[in-house]
Amino acid sequence: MIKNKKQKFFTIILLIISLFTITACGNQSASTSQQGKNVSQGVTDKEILIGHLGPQTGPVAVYDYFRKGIDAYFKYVNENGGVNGRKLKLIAYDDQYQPSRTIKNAKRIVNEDKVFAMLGDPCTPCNSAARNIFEKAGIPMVMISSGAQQFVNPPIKNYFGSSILNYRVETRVFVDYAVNQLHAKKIGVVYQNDDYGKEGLTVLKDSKNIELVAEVPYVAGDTDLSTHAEHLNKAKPDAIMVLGGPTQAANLKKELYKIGMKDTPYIVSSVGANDRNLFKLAGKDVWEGTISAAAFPMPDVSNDPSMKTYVEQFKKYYPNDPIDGFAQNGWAIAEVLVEALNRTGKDLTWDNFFKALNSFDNWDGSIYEGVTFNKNNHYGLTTMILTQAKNGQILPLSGRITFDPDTTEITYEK
Amino acid sequence: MILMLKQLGNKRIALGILIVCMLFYPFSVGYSSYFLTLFVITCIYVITSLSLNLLVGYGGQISVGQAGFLSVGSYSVAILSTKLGLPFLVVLPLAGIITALIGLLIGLPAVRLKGHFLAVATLGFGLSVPQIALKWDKLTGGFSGLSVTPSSLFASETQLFYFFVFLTVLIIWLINNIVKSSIGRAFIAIRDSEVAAQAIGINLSFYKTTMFVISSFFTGIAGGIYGYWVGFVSPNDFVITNSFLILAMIVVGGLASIPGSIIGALLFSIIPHFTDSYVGITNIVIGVAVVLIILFKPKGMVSMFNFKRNKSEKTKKNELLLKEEGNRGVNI
Amino acid sequence: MQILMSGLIFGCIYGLTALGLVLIYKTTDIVNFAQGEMAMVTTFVSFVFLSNFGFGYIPSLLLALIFAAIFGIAIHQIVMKRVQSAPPLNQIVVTLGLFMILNGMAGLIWGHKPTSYPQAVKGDSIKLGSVFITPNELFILCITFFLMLIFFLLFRFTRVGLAMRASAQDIKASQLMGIKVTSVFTATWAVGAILGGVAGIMTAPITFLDTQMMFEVLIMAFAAAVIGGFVSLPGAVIGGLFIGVFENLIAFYISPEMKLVYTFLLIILVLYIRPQGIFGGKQTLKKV
Repeated sequence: MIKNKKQKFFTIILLIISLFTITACGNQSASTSQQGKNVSQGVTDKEILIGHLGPQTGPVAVYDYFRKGIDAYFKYVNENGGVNGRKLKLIAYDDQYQPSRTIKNAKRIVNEDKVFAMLGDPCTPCNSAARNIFEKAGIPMVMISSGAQQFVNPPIKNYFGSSILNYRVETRVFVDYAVNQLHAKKIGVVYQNDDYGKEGLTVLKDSKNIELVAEVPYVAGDTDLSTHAEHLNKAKPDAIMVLGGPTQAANLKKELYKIGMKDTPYIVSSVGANDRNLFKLAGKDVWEGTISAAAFPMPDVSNDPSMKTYVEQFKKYYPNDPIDGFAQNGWAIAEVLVEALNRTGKDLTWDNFFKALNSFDNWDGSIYEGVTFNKNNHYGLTTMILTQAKNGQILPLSGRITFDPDTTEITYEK
Repeated sequence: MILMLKQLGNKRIALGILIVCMLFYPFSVGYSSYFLTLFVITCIYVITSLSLNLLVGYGGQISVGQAGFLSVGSYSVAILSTKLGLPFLVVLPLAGIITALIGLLIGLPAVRLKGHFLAVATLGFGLSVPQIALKWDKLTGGFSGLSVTPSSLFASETQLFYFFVFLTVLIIWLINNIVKSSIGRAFIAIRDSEVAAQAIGINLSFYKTTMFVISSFFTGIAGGIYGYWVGFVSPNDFVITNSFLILAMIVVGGLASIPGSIIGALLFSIIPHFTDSYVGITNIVIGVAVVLIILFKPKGMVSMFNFKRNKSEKTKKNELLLKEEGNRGVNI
Repeated sequence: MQILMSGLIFGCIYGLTALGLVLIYKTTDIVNFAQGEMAMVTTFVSFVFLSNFGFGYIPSLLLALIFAAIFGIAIHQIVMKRVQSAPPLNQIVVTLGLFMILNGMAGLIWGHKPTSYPQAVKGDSIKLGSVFITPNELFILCITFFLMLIFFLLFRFTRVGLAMRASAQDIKASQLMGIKVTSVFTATWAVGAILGGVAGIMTAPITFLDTQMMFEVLIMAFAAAVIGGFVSLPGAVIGGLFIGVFENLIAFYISPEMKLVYTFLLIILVLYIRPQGIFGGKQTLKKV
């Protein structure tokens, strides 16, 4: 009997110890051989390791398209010889949009996998949670997929840009457009009560030339927006702004259409509108006329050679996935990363890499209209266009619009 | 008597070895920040699943909102340490106490509810906490979260690690004692039959509320550990799927078993380590593990280890009972 | 008025999902947390028939419902049969495990991008008094009450219903009376899955088709079932309508962010006053 009891405890203990040693051992092999060359972690003669943390499952797994876009571009680059003879290798972990998981994986990817740089991590709260770790490590954070102010202004040494438009800059452009072009004074806003909505909302609240007649929040994941439509209907705004995701933007427009508010201009933030899928979600007639902003023209109307390559190659690597949506951003940020790696040259250290990134001056070799970095400007995407939904297409509505972080002025190209 | 002592000794030795291993863990992984984090997060789930087991396994009260208590604990730590600037040694117990108060609030109406009705009430709690945290941004910082002021008591991550491991062991010991105390026996009596428990003078509502308070207290501490370890809390840290996972931990590990909860928590904290690098399979693997283990080991994984013991202990108990009865008979 | 109307529509969706939950619980005593995901899978299958094979709406619907039945039978035969006499918590956790598997698999197979799903009845909104309603919404209202009525009558007045009720009461006794309990349970799972499929297909045009579409619906359906007492089919639908309308009133008059919180507060309040739910029978002590 004693033996049994002993056995039980020892087996349990053995199990626990072995589990942890197994987990610990699994990663010891991944040591970087630097061979005396002047390179930072994650770089060998043959490979450059790039990390990405984002949701691959869970309620917002749609952001996994960032990873797919990046992955497709890496494959494309590797097939054409890699970067300076080095192949790109993407290491990605699933965080299910939960900061508690991101933290764990952030430490893993920096300290165990020892990646050279992180590329395009989605999820603002996850990024804020992991910011401490990444900032301390000093690892390059290239084009994270969050448009929140805190990562670009004031500039952080190792954080460079965002893969989607900065929420505040974008909203300022919307306000300008609504006031100057649509001659709207009364604005009704429906916003997601997290970073997507609230960042832009602060801009709307600070704008003196408009009057906010309705401010209705919703929770991410809401599908019933009938009460929001009813609020807007009561407030009778001159223009409606939606700061949030695509499904809600589509659902709200459907509700508005149902209760007869068909003609009020409908402005949607870029994360919620740059996808032709919306014509299907909301209905072709319903989505017609929706105004938004974008960092690049949509694939079907774009003349950018880079976009053409994207459409060809992405279909090759992910034949079952739609080309619209975040995969484009994923591809684009991978282009930015590779360009920066090329500019850095053979001596791939973090400091050289930062210098190379800071030399981007409205670089338009990627899908993006332009990417700019310098010492004081880590916005990255300061150039955008306005778009409008017409006949099943999302067409450019304006010339290039440029935001200058130094003077905080916005200039319009005619 | 001697026999019992010997048993106790063995158990102690075994536990001792376990603790020594834990102490050496940081060396064995080369002070890797990631593996320390993995271990601490496992500890957090160990504490949480133990306290849920207290509620579910020993008390028979279903809670599907345990992650809500974790959130409350971590937010308490953030608010107390950052906004009020209180020191570590005050904040951590306070986080437990605040969570226990919330547990009391939940426990009071829950006294009247049973089964699915209780499940819905606690589910509502688990769903509501993140939304309240989002909405109440004056206190919680809303979507942008709150950072936790690190404690000045600990010079390095490793020291903090040791402290948390010590705390976890302490809590395991405490819960072990609670289960064996008169309170624990009252819980079990309530679980087995409320009517019988009432008949022998157990105050149902008092004990049921106590269960919620104790359970949420420890979960709050676990949340506090999370807050201090990560240094940042936000609404999405612990959502309803985490509650489901914690529930799965205790059932897969073994209901009403302390080693069971530990095994369950370990298993589900370590699975993601191996699966996260493959796209989108973590949840499938966990789901398959849950289904298979429950189908083939309905008493939980712990039954793989102490199957024989249960049997022998039962027979031993029966013998003892028979003997006692016999003795009594003689006496009378 | 408009918000009441849309509340009713969402209430119907909750009610439809709750019907499947209650049906399975009433007969087999299992709370099926995977109900929503089963519905989601069925809806995706119907969408595959619609878009990949180009079938019409009705054939796709029927094929999908046949699939749902087979799916329900498979789940019962492979998994749930084995935990039929296990403790309730084991059953719940097994369905949670199924939930994770189905959700993960669907994500791997069909991706995570929301897709549009055709409505059962097309057409622009009609104005009734001060309320706008689309023909599709009217259809959802009708089908909910129709299904509720059918199953209510089935349970009350047919031999099958009697067998179901008997199996729920006491497995052994029913077996002794010559009821093939396992077959009854398998059939229940099939019917439950079909009901879920209908709910999913009705939900998809509103919430769009993606792997997460049934998650919140399931939680609300669960709440609806509980308010209705968990054993009453009309109770489930009325509970759903009640929640749908209440949610919208809160969203409109108090705070759209807090509607879930208030809804659950109300549920807890209702349960505090009537611990057995509104339509639950007398609270009975389960035998040990």
